[in-house]
Amino acid sequence: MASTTRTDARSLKVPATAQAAAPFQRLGLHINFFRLFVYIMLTLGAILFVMPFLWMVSTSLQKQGDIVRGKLIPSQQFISITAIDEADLGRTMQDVLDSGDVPSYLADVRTQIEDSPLKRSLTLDGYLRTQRIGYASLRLDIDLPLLNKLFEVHQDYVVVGGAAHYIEAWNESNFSRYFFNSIKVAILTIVGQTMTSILAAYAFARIEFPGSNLLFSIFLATIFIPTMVVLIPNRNMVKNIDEFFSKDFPAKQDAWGITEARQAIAEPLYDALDKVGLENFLGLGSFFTVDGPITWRWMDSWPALVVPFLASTFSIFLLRQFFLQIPEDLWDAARIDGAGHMRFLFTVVVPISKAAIVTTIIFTFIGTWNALEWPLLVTFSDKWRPISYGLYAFTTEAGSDINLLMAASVITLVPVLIIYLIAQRQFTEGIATTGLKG
Amino acid sequence: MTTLSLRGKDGSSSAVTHELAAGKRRHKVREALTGYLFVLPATLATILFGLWPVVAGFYESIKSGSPITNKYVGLSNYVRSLGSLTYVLLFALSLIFVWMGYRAWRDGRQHQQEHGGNLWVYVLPGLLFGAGLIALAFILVTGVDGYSWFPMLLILIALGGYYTADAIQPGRAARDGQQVAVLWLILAGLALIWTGGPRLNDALGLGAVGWLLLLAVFGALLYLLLLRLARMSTGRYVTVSLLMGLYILLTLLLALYTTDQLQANVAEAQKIAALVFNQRVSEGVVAVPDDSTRISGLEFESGAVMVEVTVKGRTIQAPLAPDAYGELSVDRIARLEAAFVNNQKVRVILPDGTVGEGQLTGIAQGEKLFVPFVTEGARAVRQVAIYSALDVGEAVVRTEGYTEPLSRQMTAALGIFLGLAAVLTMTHTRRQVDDEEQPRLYRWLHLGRVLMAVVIALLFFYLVGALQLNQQTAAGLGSLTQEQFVRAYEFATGSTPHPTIRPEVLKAQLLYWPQVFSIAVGALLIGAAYLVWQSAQRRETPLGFGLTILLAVLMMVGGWLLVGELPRTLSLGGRETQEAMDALNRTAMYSIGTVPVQLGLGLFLAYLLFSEISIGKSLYRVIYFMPYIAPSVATSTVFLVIFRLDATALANRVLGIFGLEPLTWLKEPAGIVRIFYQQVLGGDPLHIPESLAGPSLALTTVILYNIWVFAGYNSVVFLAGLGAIPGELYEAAEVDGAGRWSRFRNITLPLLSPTTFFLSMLSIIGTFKAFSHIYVLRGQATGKEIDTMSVHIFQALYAANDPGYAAALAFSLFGVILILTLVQNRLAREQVFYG
Repeated sequence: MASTTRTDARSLKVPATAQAAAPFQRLGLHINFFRLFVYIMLTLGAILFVMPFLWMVSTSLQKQGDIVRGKLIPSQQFISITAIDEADLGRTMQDVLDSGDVPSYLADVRTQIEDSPLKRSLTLDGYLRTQRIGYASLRLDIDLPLLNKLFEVHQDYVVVGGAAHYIEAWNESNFSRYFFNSIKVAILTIVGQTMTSILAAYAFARIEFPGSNLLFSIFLATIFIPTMVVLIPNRNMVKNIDEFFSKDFPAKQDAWGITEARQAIAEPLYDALDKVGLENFLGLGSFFTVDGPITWRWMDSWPALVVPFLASTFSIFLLRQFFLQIPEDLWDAARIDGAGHMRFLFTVVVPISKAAIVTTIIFTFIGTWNALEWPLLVTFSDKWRPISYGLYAFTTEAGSDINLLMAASVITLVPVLIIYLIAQRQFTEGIATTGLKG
Repeated sequence: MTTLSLRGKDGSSSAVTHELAAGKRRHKVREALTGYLFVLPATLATILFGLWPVVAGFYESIKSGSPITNKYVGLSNYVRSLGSLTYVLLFALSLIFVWMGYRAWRDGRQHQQEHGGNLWVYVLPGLLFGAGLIALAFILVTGVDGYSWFPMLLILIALGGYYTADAIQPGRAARDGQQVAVLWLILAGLALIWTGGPRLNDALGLGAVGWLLLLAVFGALLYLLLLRLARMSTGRYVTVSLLMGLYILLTLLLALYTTDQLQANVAEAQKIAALVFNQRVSEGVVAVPDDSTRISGLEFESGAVMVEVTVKGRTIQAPLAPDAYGELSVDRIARLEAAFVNNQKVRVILPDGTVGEGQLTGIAQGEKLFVPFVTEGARAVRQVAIYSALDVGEAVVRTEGYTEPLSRQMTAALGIFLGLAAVLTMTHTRRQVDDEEQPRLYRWLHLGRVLMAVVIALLFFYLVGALQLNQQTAAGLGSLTQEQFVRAYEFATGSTPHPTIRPEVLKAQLLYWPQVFSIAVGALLIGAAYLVWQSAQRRETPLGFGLTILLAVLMMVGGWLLVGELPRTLSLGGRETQEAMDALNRTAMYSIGTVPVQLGLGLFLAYLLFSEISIGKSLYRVIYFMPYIAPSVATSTVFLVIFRLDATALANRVLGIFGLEPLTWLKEPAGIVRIFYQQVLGGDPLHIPESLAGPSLALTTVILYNIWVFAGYNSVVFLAGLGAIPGELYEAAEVDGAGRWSRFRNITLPLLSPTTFFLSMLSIIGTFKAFSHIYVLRGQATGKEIDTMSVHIFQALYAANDPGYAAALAFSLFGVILILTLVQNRLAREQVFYG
């Protein structure tokens, strides 16, 4: 009981706390009311904080009717049948039912429901509205025994409960494409930004060069520049680069001898890549295919989404703070061993700064995953549009399909949450040690 | 400011240490090169996509920006969003540049006092360098072709100037002189290659390889030069003079540009006002008739006195005398003038005794106009001037169309400021002059001061008069309807006015200068009042003290009255200004609603987490942090659904638990105080005045979202701050018997102030930058209830496709953020306790 008030590491060093708590023990007062209050407040707060998340998941699993009825716990008593027959693609449910050649499983379901003594209402909830049967699911109110039976017979295409909403949301208007676009853009950005940030942060922390302070304060100054200021010129800049690579540059390639050089190098390379199926990796295919000049799309393509974010003042600042805390002795020892800056950085500094680097990576990931205004400006087609755009578009068109919308939100949320929960410890450590000394 | 830190320390090295020093220097150079290489990628990306856009964005903001007619429009995008405040702010900005230039100079002078050397010789190269940089930026931004040699030349000359300045520093050896000569040669070579490169190549027949070699040689030379520059013993002076040069040039450019823009805008309005009002109809002699004669030109027509006026060869029937004159008989027709000016009620008594009363319609006014009254048998007695009578319709404007040229007024204003500076300088000098030793100088200074004061007073009266004229004319324009204006304009010029030329626009333009003046004077008065207030402490007698305080208060009140022009100024700016101001207001409201709560909650949670718990600490932390980490588009979508307007939405069901009516949340433009008053207290919401209605419920929803997201982040950072407070302090306080609250109040809060400051700065900037969640949430809003500045800017760009206006708005927001940061920094200096 001596540890009643001794909870944080700092007071552990000072045993005086334990003595201060002693009178309480002598009185036999074992319940610390303040502590009780703390717990109650913390738990209440936690409930409030976590509520929207729980609510999101719960809603995504509910039937439309239950949401309106105000249920909080999703019922399991409905199934969704996902039609996955190639032949059914492009046909509406009504078509399928009308044509008579109803897929066997649908027919089964129908007969079973009609035979069921309970004969619960068969809702075509959301089904007929969705035009393409291949992506849609039939959601039925159904009784548990029947459900079990159905599940046994048709487990390939019967999905129990709200999981179907996820399948539908995933397939809904290219949402899966947006998802993978975002993943690709995030990976490219993270790789690029982490590299530039580590190098720059190390230079600012460890290398003496003229103007380093000036340069660093210039970097810091960019924090105060609102995004809206740089949005417009950056779009113009990307547009200009795009025009250069798709107009001026192609026109000059013959004159500069690039076409010839390409014929020598690129053709074999292209053949090799073609074999592995990477012939148009990152849209660079025009470099390898020798017919026609090299063009490189920036607008509506990944460079527009990645290149402007290759340097991040925030990451540099965070890493620099961390690198500054690395003892000078390590560097001296490395110098004696004959290591240069590069080796010292990648064999010593980077491994011990994992927490900070993970923090920057998570921040970069979140930033890329969240980006909305910039993709709205520089992408016009689904080819490279990110998930934030997909979800935003979903909010405007989903209408009353709240469960689908929430399922889409959960899909958007999950990758970030997974990464956060895995790297949670390093992350909070990174923030706590570096996010402070502004 | 930062100094170039690598500096040669080999001033007096002996032969033995020389080699060591050289090795050290080599090492240093290599080290520096590595450093540059490491920061290069990040610097490139940051400059290209972080800093350059600021310059390019400013350029964007002074263009119309539409894809078709992307032409230069000057400051009009800013004027669209801020009204005449634009000019005030830009003048203020140039004052700030002056201040920064002064600071750089002070810095250099201090350095000079400590380390010796001569700063002044660096000023010219600094100016040249600054000019070169500005010209370079200008050419890069505007894409003007064929002038790239100009900034390069300036920069090269500036480099040479720096070396020369370095060489003529006191205590330099003669050898340095030769070095400087060589250097100038290299620079000249560079300039030659730069400008005449291709031609030179042809003439020498170098071929590609030779050409590249030549370039490489000169590139290496330039590199060495730059390195040497970095090691220059007076590197500090180089930085200081460059900054000074930049600031001086920026001040000049900005002030001239703003003046020019203001003048261009006002001059147009002045010209049109003069056109409309000051029409010299025709000249003639008014013959005041004797009692027996009749004026044929004057006749009564249904209560109105009509005058036949010949205007530019066209005779019109202008009804004379709208709201009339005092009592006027024809022989006292001279009083017409006064009558028109003062807008009096007038009766015309004709010689035959009939009394003309009624509306004198259709007389617009302007400059003096001589109306020929055709009289029978009259003798010309004197020439009478009345104001031009134009058939501009019912309402008649009687204002002088004449306004003083702006350049004269601004010169007078400048004269006043310079005069004030002179008075201050003379007072300052006089204080240091001993009246025993130099009685003559002492008296002359006093006399000069008095004279200067008289001049200032005269200039001031002139300005006030000129401003009065300006305002009268503006008022006159303002009272014209569009229809009347068009008629008058057509009459004056023979052509229809461009649709954008409207009387209310012209009125606003004419008022720019008076507003700029009054706001600037108000701000200066407030600043001066502050100084006077401070000087009160130095007064010895209580009476002197009291009087000084009184003066300060008076100045303060006067200043505020003048600055009080501001809201009226903004309301004159038209719809777009109004929208921008509303957006800014909402942003401020959003910030005020969010930041304190979010910080307080964060601190509270951090305190709880830190204090007394052993189990689940990290779990709580993970949960509190989750909203911050979760993608904002996803979480705001959840809020969108939770705060739906139907009764089954979660938020409304929670209200239902407390027996409250469901609300429409994101669609609700009513202020929360009103809603609370109505819903909970059951009163009429209109009892609450608009100014007390608080943020709209829609905005409050966004505020709630923001708090939910950032409270956890704040608490984690606070937690780190709490961990940094030494535990011994608490122990000591506890031993002294301090309670929990007193410990929190006296130890935790002060020691946490750096963290609090950091977080509050971050949060405020964050709220001003906030975009994606608001953009998602506004999907359900009906109007613009939650459009903060960022969203407003984005909409101007994305939906309205008006990049110029959007860029101007963005820069205004930038300015607001900068000012906030500066103010906060200033406050922090007094309030934050850094251990």
